[in-house]
Amino acid sequence: MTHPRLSLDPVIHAPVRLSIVAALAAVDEADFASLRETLQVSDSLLSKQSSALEEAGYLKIRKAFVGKRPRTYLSLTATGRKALAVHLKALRELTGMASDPADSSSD
Amino acid sequence: MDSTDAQRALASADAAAASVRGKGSLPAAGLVLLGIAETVLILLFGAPLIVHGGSAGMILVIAPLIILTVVSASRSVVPRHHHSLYAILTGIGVTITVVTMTFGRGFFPESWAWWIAGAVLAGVPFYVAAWIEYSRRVRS
Repeated sequence: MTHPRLSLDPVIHAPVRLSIVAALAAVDEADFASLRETLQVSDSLLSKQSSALEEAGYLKIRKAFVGKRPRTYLSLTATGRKALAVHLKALRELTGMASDPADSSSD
Repeated sequence: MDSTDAQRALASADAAAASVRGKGSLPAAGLVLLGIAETVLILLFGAPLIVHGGSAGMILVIAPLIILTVVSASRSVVPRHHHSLYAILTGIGVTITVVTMTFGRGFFPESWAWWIAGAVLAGVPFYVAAWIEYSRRVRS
């Protein structure tokens, strides 16, 4: 059996990226401004991290107009949802291991 | 990464999900009003009442459904599965409205039972949407 640490996804391991992915997993899509306010990060940080997630195929970026105003929508791809599920499972296993002395002694 | 870091990461992921989940609700009262407007408009432009607005009347009857589509599609946060949900509800609303108006004008122009049943049914998708938005808000 592999150690849960090895199942952690390096792309969403960074705290801001994990927050972006976790927030988007709860909705169909969210616009850039709402996500920025929710996560309390700067425009540039959110832009940089969401581009990294898009490159990894975890996130889809859609540009649209609401009236005359351009709006950027972010949503998770199926790959992103799967990666988050695996990552969260690994995190839960890591927290569970510490509370179970039998598991930690066998490592 | 140790257990404490993992717990911290899980907590921050939960917090991020919870804070965005509460956003993007549509006002339930507004949706109920749109449903009532739909019912009234069908009765007004269809039933053997009063006005027969021709194709202009048909467009007015569809207006609450157009408003529902535009408002639900342009919100800043779209809750999980709401894209499909609103597409289905709007589709049902359009079908009921078109069937009520087309068959009503063609075959049952004088039948109050037809127009009242159709008008009330056409409001149902709006009331379902209002109930979903209300229960989401109560839960969050």
